[in-house]
Amino acid sequence: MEQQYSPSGTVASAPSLSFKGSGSSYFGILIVNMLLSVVTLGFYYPWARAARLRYLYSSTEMEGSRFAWNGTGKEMFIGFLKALGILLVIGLLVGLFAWMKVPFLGVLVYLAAIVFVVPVAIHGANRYHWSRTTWRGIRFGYRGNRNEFVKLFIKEMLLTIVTLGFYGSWMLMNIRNYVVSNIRFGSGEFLYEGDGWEYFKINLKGYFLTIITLGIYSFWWQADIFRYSIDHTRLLHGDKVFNFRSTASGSAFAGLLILNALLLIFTLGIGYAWVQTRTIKFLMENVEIEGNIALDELAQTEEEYKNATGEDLADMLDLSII
Amino acid sequence: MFTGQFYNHQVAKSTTITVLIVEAGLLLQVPGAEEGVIQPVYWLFADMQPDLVDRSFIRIIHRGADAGTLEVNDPAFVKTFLQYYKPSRITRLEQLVVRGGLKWSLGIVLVMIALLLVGNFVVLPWCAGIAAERLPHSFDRQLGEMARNSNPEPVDTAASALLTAFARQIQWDTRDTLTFVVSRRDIENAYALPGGYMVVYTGLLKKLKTPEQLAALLSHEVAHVTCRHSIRALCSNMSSMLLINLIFSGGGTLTGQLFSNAASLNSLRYSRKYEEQADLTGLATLRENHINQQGMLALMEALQQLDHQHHIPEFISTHPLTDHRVRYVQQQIAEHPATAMQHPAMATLFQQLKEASR
Repeated sequence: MEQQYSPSGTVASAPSLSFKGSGSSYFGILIVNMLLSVVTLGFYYPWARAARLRYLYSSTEMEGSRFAWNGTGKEMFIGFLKALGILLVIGLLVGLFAWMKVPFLGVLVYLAAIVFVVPVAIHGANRYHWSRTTWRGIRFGYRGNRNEFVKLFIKEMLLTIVTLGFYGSWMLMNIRNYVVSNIRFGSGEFLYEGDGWEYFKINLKGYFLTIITLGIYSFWWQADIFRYSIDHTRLLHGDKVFNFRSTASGSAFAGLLILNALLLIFTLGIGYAWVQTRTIKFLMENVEIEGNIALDELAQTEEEYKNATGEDLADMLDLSII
Repeated sequence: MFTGQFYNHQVAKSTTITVLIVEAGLLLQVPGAEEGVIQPVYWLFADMQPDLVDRSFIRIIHRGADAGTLEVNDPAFVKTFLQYYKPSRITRLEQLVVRGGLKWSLGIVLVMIALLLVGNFVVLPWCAGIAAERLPHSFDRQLGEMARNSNPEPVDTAASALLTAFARQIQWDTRDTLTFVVSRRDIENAYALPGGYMVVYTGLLKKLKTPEQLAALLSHEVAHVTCRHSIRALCSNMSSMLLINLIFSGGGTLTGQLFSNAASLNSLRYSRKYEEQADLTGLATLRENHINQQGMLALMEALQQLDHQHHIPEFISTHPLTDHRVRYVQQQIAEHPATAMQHPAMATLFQQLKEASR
């Protein structure tokens, strides 16, 4: 920990993030997961996921202490069954209406399911995911309100549909502002201040330059998107603050992603474990934290939340959480 | 004596403490509530939940009144701790692998490969066999009709009538209704569709010299139908696809791709096994009808001449290499000698067929 005393007398610190995991250990975990998934005809999946997350979190270090993932396969299995039930009911309804020769109603059910299930899944996933993440025994948490979030999501979704997708950047920023700003790190509060117009400009520039450069610019576009998600995040604790900053450049992203692709191709996919550990290491090493929060003072404030239904729904629907 | 980091679950304060591994538990020297006071705390193995992350890092969570987390980043501690803490309590297989390192991972890979091989070559063919038995005969006919409609052949009606009359001279032991068709194309081949639809190309008819050769050819093709080879191959292909999807769903699509190609090679191996079965069953048909079994050998010699023009290696060809086929057919004939009779009706029909297909 580098400590400097700023002129005003408050302690400035810059805790470092790093990833200590190794590809070969992670490979061992993935291969065991694969074996047990085959033997159990896929039912091991929730436990496999728990083992994977446990290793990745426990290998990530901040300020000399590791993060921890406390979720269990059992919790995620129960959530998995509930999520499966929800999707099954939706599927049955759609099928039933098709069979009754009123596919119009089926489509309606389908759309309603997307509009309601997706935000509920995102909400539930955040509640579970953050509650099961700890650092030095202090739980993270998500304080978002479900009804509020569903309303926000539906409004943003409708605006995106009406504008034929052009509103997408604003939608993403407004949702991220809501979600990240409701994440707690013990008594610390995250804050995200993204602006739809700025994000739209990044994507517009990225899109056209990628086409003009025949794809080469995509790495710089990726770096811009990553920087936008990191640099507008802050952690507040009382009147103190931590600012986050990305140091990942487009060329560094190019190096990472090209080598990853080669690694995957030449090992016929076996290199997947190394690809993932390399990527996490890269991302962690390229986030700088700076500010005057004393991490020692973060207190336990968040409750435990063990319902993994949202987490599993989000996983099944392939939604990324933030 | 080891050092570790202690967290009290109240604030994110990291305290360096000393840890002693003792009988049935750990002794921690934890600072007390008052500044400067050191308090020894005893954690029972039974009350703790260790999480082995890798060979040098372990996290131990203690629940209850004095809840807390201990993290030790020291391979020596991990090793000693695991000796005292009953390894059987660590039930998660992936933790064993983390402890054992790459050797264990590779061991698991070998187990996986063994399971895969057993699954693919023993369990799946068995399941596919059962599935094929369960499928009704009407399914064969439907499948045959589908194949016929998707690939219609130009039918020579006159020659087909002669071939049907020829085939009627032979007693077929089958539940299927057999249909024999001559197709006027210059291809040296014949095939049978499930359900009993047999096609012989004029290209092949031209190469046949005796009625026994033709009888052998037909009995070989009919054997494919009666043994339901297409249905079996289809079932085993489908079950292989299921296994592949089970293993490679999600990550590593590239490997999945590779394995699905391997699956088609495997089904070729099946086909060769089926060809052998068809040859042997065909021989039995010839014996029962008192047709000279040498006809099968003569047929193979005719086919062998064709093979020499193409030079297809055995591994990638669906038919077993004809030399190999000749050997087991000769052996089979020697083991089951049978009397052969003259079949003047067959000889006449064969001559007419030869003329018609010219």
